[in-house]
Amino acid sequence: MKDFLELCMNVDYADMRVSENTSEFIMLEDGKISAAVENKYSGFGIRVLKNGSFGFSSTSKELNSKNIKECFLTAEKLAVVLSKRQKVKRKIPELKKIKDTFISPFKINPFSVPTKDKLMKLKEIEFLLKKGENIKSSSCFFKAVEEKTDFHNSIGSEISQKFIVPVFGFFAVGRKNDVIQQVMKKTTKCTGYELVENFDIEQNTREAISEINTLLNAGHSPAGRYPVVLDGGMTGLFFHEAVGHACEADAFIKKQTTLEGKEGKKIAAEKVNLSDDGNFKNSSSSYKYDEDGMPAKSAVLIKNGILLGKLHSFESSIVLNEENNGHGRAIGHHYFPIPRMANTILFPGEYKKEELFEGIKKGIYLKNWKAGEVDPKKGTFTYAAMSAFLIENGKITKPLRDVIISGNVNETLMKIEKVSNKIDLIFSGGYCGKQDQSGLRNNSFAPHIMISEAMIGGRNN
Amino acid sequence: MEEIIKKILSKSKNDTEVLISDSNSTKSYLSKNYIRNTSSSNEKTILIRVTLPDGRTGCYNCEPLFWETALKKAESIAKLSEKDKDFRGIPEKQKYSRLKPSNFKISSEEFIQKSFSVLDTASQTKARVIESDCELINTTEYFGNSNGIYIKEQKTNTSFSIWTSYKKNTIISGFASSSLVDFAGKTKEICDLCIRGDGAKKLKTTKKMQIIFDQNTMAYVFSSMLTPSFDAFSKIKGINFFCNKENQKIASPNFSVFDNGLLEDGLFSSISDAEGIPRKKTPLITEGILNGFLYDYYTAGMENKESTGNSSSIISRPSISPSNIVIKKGDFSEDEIISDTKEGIIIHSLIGMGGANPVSGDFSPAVANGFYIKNGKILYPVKELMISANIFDMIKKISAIGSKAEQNSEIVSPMIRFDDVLVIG
Repeated sequence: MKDFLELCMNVDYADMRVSENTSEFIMLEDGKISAAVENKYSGFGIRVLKNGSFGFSSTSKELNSKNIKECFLTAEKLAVVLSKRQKVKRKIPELKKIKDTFISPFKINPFSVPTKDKLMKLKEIEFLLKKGENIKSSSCFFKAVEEKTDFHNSIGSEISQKFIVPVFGFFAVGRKNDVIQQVMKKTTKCTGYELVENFDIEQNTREAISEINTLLNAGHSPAGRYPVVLDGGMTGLFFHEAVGHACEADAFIKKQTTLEGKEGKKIAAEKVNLSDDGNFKNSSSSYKYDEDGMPAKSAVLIKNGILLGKLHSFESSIVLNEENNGHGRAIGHHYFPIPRMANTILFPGEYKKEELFEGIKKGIYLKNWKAGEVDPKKGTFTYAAMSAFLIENGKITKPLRDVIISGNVNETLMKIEKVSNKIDLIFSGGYCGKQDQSGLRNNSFAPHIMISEAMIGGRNN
Repeated sequence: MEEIIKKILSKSKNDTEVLISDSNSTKSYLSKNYIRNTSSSNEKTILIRVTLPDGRTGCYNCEPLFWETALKKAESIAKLSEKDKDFRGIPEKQKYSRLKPSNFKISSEEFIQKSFSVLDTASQTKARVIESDCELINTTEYFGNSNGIYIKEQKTNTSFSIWTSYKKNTIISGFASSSLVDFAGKTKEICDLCIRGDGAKKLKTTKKMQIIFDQNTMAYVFSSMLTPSFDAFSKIKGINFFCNKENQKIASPNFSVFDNGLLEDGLFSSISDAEGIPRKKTPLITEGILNGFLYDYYTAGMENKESTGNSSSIISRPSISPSNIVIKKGDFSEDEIISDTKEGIIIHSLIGMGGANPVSGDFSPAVANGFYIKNGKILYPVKELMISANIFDMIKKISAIGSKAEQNSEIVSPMIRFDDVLVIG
């Protein structure tokens, strides 16, 4: 690292992330292996602050003096181009030198398990699924990633981190006449191959077959405005998309958040308490240090309905002159770290789950998140559920399919009437996209909630 | 790179395919009061797929420097894999059409300077750029297989996304080009639309009316909802809405669609697909009749057909994706489509297609930017509005197609009007 530190003498600040990633992916589609792939990918990225502006350059070339210099000088050149345009100059705060090594805990290294053992597990799933009523197709997958990143900066920090994250699960597709429905079951954690060993194949395939047949016989949802109950997965998705993104500090800098100017003010019902923790145990999106070399922290975002905090990267904390809380993340060495969520947690309330349905004359119960999207400036959101049910007179009645809810974030946060007393700890692992960095591992953990009104996209009134 | 490919193919005793990709990109991330950074990236990868005579296949992906390890690894993964009775070998040497060569060249610094015109153009309007990411990407791909195919293709694309706001309204849009994208022109277009969209009202009604998708929205809906239905492999598996509907009427007679991998200036035009099969023009829907699907070499073999040149990758088998999907233009100007609309919504952007079900065709997105039309006149912008529709029903009720098309992602589409779509206010 002597070469890197020598080059740093000419700039205000610099850091370098060196990554080495190994991954394995096996996909079994309808009993046939459609993909058996291994990847080994390495490279490094250098960020430079010069004349008050940041420049960044990355390469997959070998890590040697010549390539470090070439990459460094490109980043420096780009910083200079930008500094001619940028009026406000960035200044580095006082930084603490950190030297540390971290390896995520695991019992069985997934890369040491023979491929035939992994295939046997996938075949077991496929065998059970194809016996299921109305099941037309299945795709079973195993993936393991080992990510090693070394961080160095101009003040002499040296941080080495290694994470092992396996993913295991399946899609099953069912068809009845012209109705086709799909269900996915997946588990992922920051752990070893024990994740696969502990996955209850019989129970998960049985549930998937049952859920598909429920969906194949389900009707369309009524369209219009109704009270809704969301399960923990849907609630987590709601807070991730509607509040988490709006709390990322760069959204405030760019004035792109509906929460702008609302710090210290009430933005949600009083029972809402939300934080984001970069170091949540076992989660596939946890880390000890973020991509800026800052220790992971838990940031309180909402307390008793009051907006309290933002999620900061190294750079956003400099721009806003606020304390960095270790949420600078990037999807690889070739991307600049930006403020991102890690594990968004809605804290439990006081109601038993069944009490959330009480008093609802006609409403919708949405379960198992599928997708979500928000316009953070306007506050419009849409969320889709894998499965849903009609609520009639406080009871769950008919199954519904392809249900989507929509509304305005600010109005909906105030309409949260009940929060259940238990978090649904579901380690199904989500991936988040922001700007040009999609596929970042992300998780949300939340209890059930009841919202007094949301817009439902359906067919009949 | 050609040398490396030759060495690999001479060393391997099995069916082997090699792809080396060398890409350089330059990006600038802009905002009105905050230019985050500029970045440059150079990435090289090699992907080797080895298939044994009984169909057992293995893939390995790494830095080209380690090609010998990659070949050994791909072979060892293949040995651990399983037989595939549908494997019929890899493509033989082919004849390729010529594509018009691109003379477009620009340096990283010049591109970054040009990208600043996004901010300069917006500053001349009342709208504000919340965020804009601009990218220049140069890619050279070298592909070879053990049956004698060798292809080198070079491509330069530029793109930018823009997110603007005016008072309470915002618009997010993206543009790409095989030459220099029109930063100033597109920024002006989006800023003007954003200003017009201010003062949106709730419609407060739930009923069926006419819906107009502009080119951008049509591309978004088509790629989410219809593109997956042209995949021949899902048709063979019976999990595709179009299976058993070939040569049947599935859309209005004014609706024709084809895939064209050789489209002049098409963003996804190339001389060959990922397996070395020549790109071509493939009819998918002709005057409302379903008459085609997209195939790679493997899937074509399952039905004893020729590949349409739509393999997207050698990582998995099969792997099918479109090149440039072109919707045939109609005769109506955009003004004519609006003035002929009795009651409806013209939609410039949607959010929430991630929850759509492309297999059943059901989708219920929210309208992010749209205007209410009554008796041929645009009355006001709308907010908090969803549409609830089934794409396979919608394409049977197309009442007007515009005469001006543009490409967004892989879709080249004109403006299209659909009748009887449920709007939830």
